[in-house]
Amino acid sequence: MSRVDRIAILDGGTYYHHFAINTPEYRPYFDQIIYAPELDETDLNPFNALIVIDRLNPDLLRKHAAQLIDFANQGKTLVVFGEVEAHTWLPGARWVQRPTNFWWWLEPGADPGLRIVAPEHSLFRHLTLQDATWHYHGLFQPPLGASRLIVLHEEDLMDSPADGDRYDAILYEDRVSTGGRLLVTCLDPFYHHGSSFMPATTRFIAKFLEWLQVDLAQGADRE
Amino acid sequence: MENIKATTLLIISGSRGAPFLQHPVSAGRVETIDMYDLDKAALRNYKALLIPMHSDQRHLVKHRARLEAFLSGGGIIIFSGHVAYPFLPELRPFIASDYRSVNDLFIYRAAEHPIWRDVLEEDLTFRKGVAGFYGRGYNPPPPNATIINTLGPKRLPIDYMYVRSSGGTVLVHSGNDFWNFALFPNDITSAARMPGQLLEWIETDMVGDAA
Repeated sequence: MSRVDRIAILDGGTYYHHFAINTPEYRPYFDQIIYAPELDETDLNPFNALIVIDRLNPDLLRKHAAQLIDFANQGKTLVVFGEVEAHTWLPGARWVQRPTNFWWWLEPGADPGLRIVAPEHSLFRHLTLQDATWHYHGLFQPPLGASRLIVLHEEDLMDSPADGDRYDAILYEDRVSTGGRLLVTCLDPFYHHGSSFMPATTRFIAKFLEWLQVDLAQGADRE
Repeated sequence: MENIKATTLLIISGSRGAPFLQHPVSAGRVETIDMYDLDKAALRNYKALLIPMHSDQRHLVKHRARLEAFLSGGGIIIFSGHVAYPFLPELRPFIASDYRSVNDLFIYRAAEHPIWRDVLEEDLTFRKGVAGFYGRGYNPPPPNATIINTLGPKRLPIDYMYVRSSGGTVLVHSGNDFWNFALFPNDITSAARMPGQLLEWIETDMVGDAA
């Protein structure tokens, strides 16, 4: 029986992509590393999940968007990390840029405002809110029918519009925009882990990959 | 100022802007080329090529011969970032510093250089009181390099410059793009001198010119 938890990851050829993908703790999760400019020469059929690593050149993703969406439409999981201009090529993704506060943690007891809003989701058996907390560069508005997993809670949004109109998602799961599943986040942990600077990002990737592999295996059991 | 011909070519990846490009200091002096159009660039029209942290180094390796030809013609290559794939034969992969305390992240001046003139060590070491932005490791230099700035008590070579035997000058900063450093609004320290002094150095440097 062929494995159902095969994961491929895109590599943009940068130092931090190279370093992050080859981190000894992460490397075993990746069945193939695909150099993004060679995506169109690559058969994605063997894989059940494809990870679009953060800070990948958005021009490459726009160029290869049809192939990525087709992958999801096979009933597979496309994971899209931050700073890849997903709103320009990914179905359902709407985005608003926010000024990045790199410095919130200098203030003792500061609350950067992130909240888990789907605590029942299996991801949070592996990942804590602290693992997802460093900074963000903007927020998504998920399409109607998608599930927000982590959001930014802002006091001045108490009288906020209905879910469908709110730009607040840090991480969401979308099973409506394609025939498969999109996991979309504005977080960029590979870049920061690959720059050896932010310990939360190192934990985020480890726990996210651990969950993804378990989830793919269990998803197949249900079918 | 309108008469200054752009001397510097900055490689960009995607449509992301750099603070350096949006800053008046670079106006008319810096042009850009998309990473994947590098093979179409008339490099000989420029004195210097800036290669940023976010570069696809696998692609640069494919164009190593073009980069070396540019240097042999007297060009300057300025690389800011961590080496993963040596896109010039003398480059070596980045070695991260095993830093334990703020002392390990102090930046020290080892030699004067026009780019770092009047740039205080403490303004490189700290940003808003936080150490580590400037660099957290080093790309090992070739033996003939002049070390300009070092990191921590082991004086790890973080910034250096060398002239190649076949002509051309290479300047390496082992950290995030220093031409963007301190150009953010309300973040003005002596470190903000680097971007302008980088361009002045490029425009006046004779070191790498072919004999």
